[in-house]
Amino acid sequence: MKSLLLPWLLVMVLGMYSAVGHADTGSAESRQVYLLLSYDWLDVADADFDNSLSAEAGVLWPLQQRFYLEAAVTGINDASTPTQEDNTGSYQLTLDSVELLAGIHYQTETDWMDSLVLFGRGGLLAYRMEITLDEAFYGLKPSGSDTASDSGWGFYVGAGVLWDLKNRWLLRSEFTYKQRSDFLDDSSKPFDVRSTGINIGIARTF
Amino acid sequence: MRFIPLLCVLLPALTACYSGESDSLRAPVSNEGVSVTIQANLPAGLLQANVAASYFQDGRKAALVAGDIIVAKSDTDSAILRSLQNLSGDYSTVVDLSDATAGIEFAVDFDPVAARADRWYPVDELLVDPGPGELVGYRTQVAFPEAIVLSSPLSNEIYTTRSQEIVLSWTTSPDTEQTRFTSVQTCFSGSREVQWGTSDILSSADPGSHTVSVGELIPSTNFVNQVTNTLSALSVIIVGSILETYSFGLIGRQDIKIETFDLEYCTLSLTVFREVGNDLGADISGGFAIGSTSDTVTVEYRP
Repeated sequence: MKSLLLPWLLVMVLGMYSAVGHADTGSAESRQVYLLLSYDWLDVADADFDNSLSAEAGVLWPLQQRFYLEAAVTGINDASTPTQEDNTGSYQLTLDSVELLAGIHYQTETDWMDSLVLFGRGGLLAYRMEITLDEAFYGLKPSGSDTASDSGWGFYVGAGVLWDLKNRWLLRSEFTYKQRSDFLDDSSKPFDVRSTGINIGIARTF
Repeated sequence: MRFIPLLCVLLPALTACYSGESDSLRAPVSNEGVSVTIQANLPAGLLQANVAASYFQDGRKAALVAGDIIVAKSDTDSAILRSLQNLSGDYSTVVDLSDATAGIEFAVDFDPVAARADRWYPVDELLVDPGPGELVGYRTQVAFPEAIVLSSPLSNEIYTTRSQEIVLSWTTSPDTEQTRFTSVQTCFSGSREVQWGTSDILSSADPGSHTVSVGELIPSTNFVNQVTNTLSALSVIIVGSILETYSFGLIGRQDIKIETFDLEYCTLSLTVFREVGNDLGADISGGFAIGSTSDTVTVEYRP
C-alpha cells in the first residue's frame, strides 16, 4: 500500500494547488479554503503522550449540492511522553508527523438558525511520521538519541459547525478523530497512533 | 484503608543484629575485583526455582543498565532477573526447570533488546546502545542439594500461647552443608497488619529437627525488627517470593513496637532451607553462590 503513497501525495498537492488557484480567481462561489488550530489528545499503544497543538489547512472543492471534495495538510507537533524509568535506563519518546487528508465533506444548513451550517467529513489520511527516543542510563553509561520514521495510511472523521460571519468569512469549529495505522510496520511492535481533537479556525468561500 | 505496611526484611545493604550460628557458606564480598551474592532455591514439590543475585565491583553493589542483564538458565528455561527498584542492584526472578540436577547457570550477558523487552515501543527500531559493561561475561553455576520435606508441624496447626513449642522435623541428607530456618510472621488486628521476618543458621549441618517457641517468633514486648544480617537476607527474600509477599527492592526496614499492636492472630510461615555452596566462577573474587532446597509450612498463633 505504501507504493501508492507518492502518487497519491502528488495528486493531492496538485489538487490543492488547482483548488487554491481557482479560489484566488474567485470563479467558484462555494469553494472554501480554511485554516484551523488543532488541539489533539493522543492515544498510542500503552504510552502516555502529552497533547499536541498543531494546525490544519485545507480546501473544499464542490462536487454536487452539499458535497465537497476535501484536501488538507495537518500533523502532530512534538508530542512527548513523560520520562519513564526501568532497570535499563530512563527514556522519553517524541512524535512528529505530517499528514495529508483527502475525503468527502458534507454541509447542511439548519432550519433554526440561518447563519449556522452543520458539516461532517471523512476520508483517507496519509502520514509521514517520525519518532525520537532520548535515553539515559542513570549516569552509568553515555546517554543518546535514536530516530525512526515511516510512512503509512489511516483515516479521519470529523463533525462540526460553520458560522457565517458574512462577507464570505466563516468561523469553523469541529471534533475530529484520526487514526494512523501500523506505524513502523516492519518492526517487532508496530502501533497505531490515534488522536481525538478539537479544531477551531476560519474558512473563506470563493 | 488503615493498612500499616510495616515490613522489616533487610535490604542487603543494611546490617542488623544477628542471632544463631555463623554462616559457613556466605563469604563476604571482596573490596577488590568482582564479587557475587547468588542464591537459587527450589521449593519442595515445585519445578520452579526462585533465584536472586547481586554483583559487586570493588565492594560496591553494581546496577546493570543499558543492555547488561543477569540471565538464569535451567535445563528448560531462561529468564532475565529484574529488580523492582531501579539501581538497587538486587535482582530476582523465577525459572522453570524439569531436571533439578542440571542446576541453574547465572550469566551476565549483554542483550540490549531483551533488556528492554517490557517497553511498549519497538526496541529493534529505536535503540540507544552504549555497549556492554565490565561485568558482562561473568558466569556462575549453581547446583541444588537433595530436596527437603517437612514432616512436622502440620499446615494450619494452631498455637494458643507464646510458650508453646513448634517442632520442625525433616529427613536428613548427607550432602547438606548448612541448614537455615527462616520465618515470616504476619499479625492482624482488625484492618491493621504487621509483618516481619527472621532467619537463623541451625547449630549443626543437618540436625533433622528444630524446635522454636512461639514467643521467640512473636515477642510480647519491645520492638520486633529484622534479625537477619546482610548475608542471610537473600534467604528471607526468597521465602518472601515464595509467599508472594516480599520482593527485592520493595521492602523497607522499620521497627515495630509490638506491645502497641493489639494482635488478634498471626500466621507464621516457617521455612527450612537445605543449603550447599558452589564455586563462584572464573575471576570472581568474593561473595557466595548458594544452591538450596526448601519446604514451607504455615501455622497460626491465636492467643
